Amino acid sequence: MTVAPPAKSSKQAVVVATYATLAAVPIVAAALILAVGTDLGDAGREVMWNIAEWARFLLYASAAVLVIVIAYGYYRRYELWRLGKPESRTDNWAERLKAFLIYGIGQGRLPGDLYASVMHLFIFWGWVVLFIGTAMLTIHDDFYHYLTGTTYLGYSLTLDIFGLLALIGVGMALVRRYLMRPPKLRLASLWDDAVLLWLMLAILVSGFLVEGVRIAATELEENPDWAGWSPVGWVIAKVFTEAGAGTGLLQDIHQAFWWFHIPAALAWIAWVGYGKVAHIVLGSANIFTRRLSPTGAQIASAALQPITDFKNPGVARLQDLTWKQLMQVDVCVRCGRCEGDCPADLNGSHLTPMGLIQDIHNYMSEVGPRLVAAQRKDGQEAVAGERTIAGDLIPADVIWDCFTCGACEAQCPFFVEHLSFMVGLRRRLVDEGTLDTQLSDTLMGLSRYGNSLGQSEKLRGRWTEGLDFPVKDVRQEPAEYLWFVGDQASYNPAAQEVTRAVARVFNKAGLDFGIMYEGEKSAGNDVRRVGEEGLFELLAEDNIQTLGECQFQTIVTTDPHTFNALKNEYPAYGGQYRICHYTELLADLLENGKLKPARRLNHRVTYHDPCYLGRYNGVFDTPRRVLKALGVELVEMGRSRERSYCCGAGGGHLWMQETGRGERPSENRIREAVALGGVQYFVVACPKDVSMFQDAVKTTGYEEEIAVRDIVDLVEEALEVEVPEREATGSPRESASAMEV
Amino acid sequence: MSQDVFVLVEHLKGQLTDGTFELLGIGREVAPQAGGRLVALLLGRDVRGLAEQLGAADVVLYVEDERLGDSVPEAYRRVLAGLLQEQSPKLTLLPTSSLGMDLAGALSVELNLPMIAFCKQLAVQDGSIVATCELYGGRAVVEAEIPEGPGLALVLPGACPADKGRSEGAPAVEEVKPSVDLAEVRVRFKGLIEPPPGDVDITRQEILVSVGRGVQREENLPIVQELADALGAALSSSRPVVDQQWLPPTRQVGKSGMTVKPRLYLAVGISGAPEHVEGMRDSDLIVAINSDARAPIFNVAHYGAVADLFEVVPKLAEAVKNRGA
Amino acid sequence: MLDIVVPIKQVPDLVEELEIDPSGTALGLERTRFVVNELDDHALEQALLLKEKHQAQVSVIALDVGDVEETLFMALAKGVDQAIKISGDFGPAPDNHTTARVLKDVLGGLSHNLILTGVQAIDDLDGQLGILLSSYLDLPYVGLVSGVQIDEGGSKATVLKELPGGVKAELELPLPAVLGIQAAEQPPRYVPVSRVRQAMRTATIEERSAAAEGNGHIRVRRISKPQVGAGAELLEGSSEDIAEQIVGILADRGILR
Ligand SMILES: Cc1cc2nc3c(=O)[nH]c(=O)nc-3n(C[C@H](O)[C@H](O)[C@H](O)COP(=O)(O)OP(=O)(O)OC[C@H]3O[C@@H](n4cnc5c(N)ncnc54)[C@H](O)[C@@H]3O)c2cc1C
Repeated sequence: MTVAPPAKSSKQAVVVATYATLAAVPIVAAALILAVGTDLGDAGREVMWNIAEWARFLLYASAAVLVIVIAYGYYRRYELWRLGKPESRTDNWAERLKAFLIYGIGQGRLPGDLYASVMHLFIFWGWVVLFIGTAMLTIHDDFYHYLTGTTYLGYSLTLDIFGLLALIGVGMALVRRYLMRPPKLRLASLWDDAVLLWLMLAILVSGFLVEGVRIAATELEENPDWAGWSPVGWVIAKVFTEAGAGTGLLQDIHQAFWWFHIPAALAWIAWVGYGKVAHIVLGSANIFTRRLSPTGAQIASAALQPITDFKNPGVARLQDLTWKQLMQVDVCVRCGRCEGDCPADLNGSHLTPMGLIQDIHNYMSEVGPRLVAAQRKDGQEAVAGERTIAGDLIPADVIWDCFTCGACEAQCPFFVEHLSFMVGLRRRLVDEGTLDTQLSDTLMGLSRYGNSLGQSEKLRGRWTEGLDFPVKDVRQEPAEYLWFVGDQASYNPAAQEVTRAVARVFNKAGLDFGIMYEGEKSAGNDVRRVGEEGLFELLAEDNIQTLGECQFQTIVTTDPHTFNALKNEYPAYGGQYRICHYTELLADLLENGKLKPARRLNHRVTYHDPCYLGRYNGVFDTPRRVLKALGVELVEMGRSRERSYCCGAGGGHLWMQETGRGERPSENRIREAVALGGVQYFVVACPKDVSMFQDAVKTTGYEEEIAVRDIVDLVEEALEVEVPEREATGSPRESASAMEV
Repeated sequence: MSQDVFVLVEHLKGQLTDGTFELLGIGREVAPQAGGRLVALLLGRDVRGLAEQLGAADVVLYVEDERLGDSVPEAYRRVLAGLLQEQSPKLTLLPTSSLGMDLAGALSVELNLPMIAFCKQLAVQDGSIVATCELYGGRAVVEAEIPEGPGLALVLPGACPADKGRSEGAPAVEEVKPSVDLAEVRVRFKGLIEPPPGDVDITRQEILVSVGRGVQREENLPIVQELADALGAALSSSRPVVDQQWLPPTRQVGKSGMTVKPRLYLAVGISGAPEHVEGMRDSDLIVAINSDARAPIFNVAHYGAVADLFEVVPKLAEAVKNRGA
Repeated sequence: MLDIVVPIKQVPDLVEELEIDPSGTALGLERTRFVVNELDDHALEQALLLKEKHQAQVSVIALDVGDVEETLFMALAKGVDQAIKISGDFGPAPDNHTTARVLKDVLGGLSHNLILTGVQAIDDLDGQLGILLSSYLDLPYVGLVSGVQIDEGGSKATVLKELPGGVKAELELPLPAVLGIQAAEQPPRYVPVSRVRQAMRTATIEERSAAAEGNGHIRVRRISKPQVGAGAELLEGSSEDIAEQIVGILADRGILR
């Protein structure tokens, strides 16, 4: 089992502290100068001391060439991205600028990995300050002479300290890479990544040496008062003078170091256009063009538009991806963050989100230029080395492994949209018929009967037979709330008792609600996720038609997956509704007094955020408000809210053979909850979760420790509506069988 | 047309099949109703010896020919067509088996004889052939008749206890020479492919826990396996479970699988299609667990529970273990 | 060129409760949902596999009964070359003798050297379609087939026929021939809805008419539903209760040690 990560707040504290340290440096430098440095008015140094005049021109010329070299690097990638389909990502500049500031400059997604975060902040700000310092020096030397006296000394001190911080950061990176070796870095063993790090070390060390030797030769004797303001340089200078180096020797050594330092720095800068360092630019660009809507609205992205080319659906060639997707594969720096919470990765499936992105990146680097060349000649034919992306480059089992839970996207520092690839790839596989027989049986059943359990649609409303009050048929009479019940909640015996509990609670609250009985069909959310776009459309059209014939004000759903489809995906087909999840309705009913708990519940519980309610649609607080109103003690799991860990049923996995070879995601999750200590109930708000986690409690053997309960089950308990006698575990599945007696 | 009832004798590897005795059992009842004799038709390479076991029949007609040895249905069909043409019985009974299914329709067309398939019961009433048939996967019972006759019937396995067709007797045994040229048979036998050996032989198990499509996924098999282990039983299955390759073909019970007669057959999530039932209906004790009260398995089971297997099977395994302890 | 014809049949969908006509001698067809006979779907799959291997031409033909168009479009979406719907005065529920004669009539005008059908269907009261058809056409027939290979010249087929006990017989027969398919070499493929809808927009179903004379000459007296659980004594109660009762029964019979 993965160890529960440290709580979010303590992580934030460390990151804030890091930032505070960074910000303190120039302030302390300024303060020090004010305190002691008033009599150092003529302090300063000769820029490019000991370096021939022609070298200065060579340096400037090199800089000009560098700009071209870098620009060419980006142009080459840009040409590759242009192979992709169009997609608009430049609306709402204000939002995008904000994202750039928070997540680009501010690196707002880094704190997920603490060590890496501190390491990266040191390197990043070290580099930024050193770069600014160099720019300032150029201005001072060539345009406006201002780095003198106390200003100069403050400047020196600040740069020295940031250089040192960068050195610490690089050191941390080397330790991580060569000693700690976290497995998620396995792909980052490319020479690019390693060379970059050693190059940075070389630049920093040689820079300090150049400085130190210069100070030894020019300051230590003449202006010892100044030398101390470059603390690192001063120490090095001391070492050289103690060793007895004379001025002539120092000048030679200085030149040698200088001629090492400058080319190394130039090489690093050139690399900004090509290698891993390009993430400075590409990452910013990707953050700027990120999807602004929540994950749930992802289908709105161009990558997932309805299929129009029936001969060639889904993703087979690079040209089937959008420019944005192609850009994204170039952004990835192989940090492995996407794998951290990926259920497919943890359960030992073939999929890793990072591997997916990297495979396409490598493929594009190899074959893309040939495609560009062919396109210049107006050719659309296959080029040498071209492979079918779905099924060949990315093997089918890898594509099917994904649970579409979105944990990868929520972690990526650069907002790579892994899911946008998944659905496109699956569309291709479905079109070719490369799918699990269990899945194809389910899809056949869905197209025939409108539900994923392959049962007669006439039985859809049969769960209501266990109620002692009638449930309105909204097709016959108007109701304020149209309850879209969903497949699992309607048919699965393990979920039906929860469904009846929802009905009883609604009834108790005096809610005016009804259901569509056999008029309701699966909303098709997961049908779309498995890539069966045509079937999704069929289901959506049928539902929209039936909904159009009913009179209601708001739709309430049990299933978060249904909620997502109705809310985010039906509008494109002409279905615009006011829609809420039952937890939202319960929160309202409790808060406006329509539901009055008869007692406080003293349970100690934890709450599992369903992927499609939380990450996809941002509903995190509402269910917690319900729990608060009931009085239970809520203990949060380490992976909660955006980091919630998938139950393993998403993305159509309920309909497929299990693919993982390791621990099931649901079992991993139950262990996490049990590890919290003394938690009686694992509270869920999704019918799929009920059956997934009940099963996991059994298979992990934690039946004594913890029981799975739907949130409405707790609400009902607090209301003391008459409930069928609960057995020791209080599991709804058990009470379901008791009901049928 | 004579009033005789003819029965096709089926044999495998020198043994008469149970189906043969079932047909004879039915024939024994129907022949008097028709007012004719019960005639057994015995075809094969070297089959004269088998006639002794056909005591239930009044007459045994046998045909021996080298080309009838490999149970190529077309060869049988040609011989039978000639024979039935000459003898024109009132009713001919064929088993619903890999042989009978490849004969009945062809004879019906060739001899212009009406036929009824999926027969569970047969009678001759006022000269008409009346059959009760199990259609639609056992979901409907159809009573059909061939007014006056003559006709053919394809009889489902299990329509009659085999013992009713096993009786002592001394039928007249006559050899008949085929009136057709078997050189014209177009279908050629090339060989038999035996199932891979090495797995458990489910036909020799005392207790079988048998699992069907109701288990839904391969990963759920351990739930049932646990029960089998507790009972000291072997796991067998219906066809879909084998088709999905969740279990090897050697575990399949039914028409194209094995016929089993254990002391206990515990059917879990099996609907009880006729093709499955024919392979297990003679078990001493049949207990079925199925969530659908309409499932035809409850028609053959001695005890049944309309319940979710995922609920009951683990509880049952536990209960069995507790008892052992 | 190998020309494969797959006659397919619609049968009532057993997911739904069967409806019986008030007359008591037929199914209530208006309220019945039809699906393609499962084994015909296997026959079609086997045909498509042969098509991929031998560049065969595949035609699907069906009588205009039930929801046959949907099934034919589905077949077109799967890649068959031709779909033919046959109309005629055979009524809403022709028996298999009638169906076979109608098919024979149509096959007269259709080149064919291999006919694949499902070996049986759940409503085969008067015998199985494939073998009836083979006799009307005077072609060799093998049923219960679960593997088909066609030789190079397309003149012979080698097939695997299922026998009891997991044994299979390997048989060879000259083409043209009719085979009753028990199982295709791989499960029937899935065809995405978008392809079916696309087929509905762009592909056409050919229509032919054919005469039907005679029938199977059997008369249905009565159709009824079997008594549920006629044989079984039903155990009731909670899962624990049921488990205890079963253990009791087994213990009584000495099956539990
Ligand atoms: C020529 C021919 C030969 C054949 N040979 C064989 C053969 O040798 N052997 C054989 O088995 N079949 C054979 N068949 C196939 C046969 O017709 C049936 O298709 C097959 O037996 C059905 O298997 P099943 O009962 O497992 O599946 P289904 O018919 O799908 O039944 C599954 C059952 O599980 C129940 N169920 C579902 N969920 C649960 C749950 N949670 N708890 C409890 N119950 C549940 C359902 O109610 C249903 O009744 C043959 C068919 C043909 C045409």
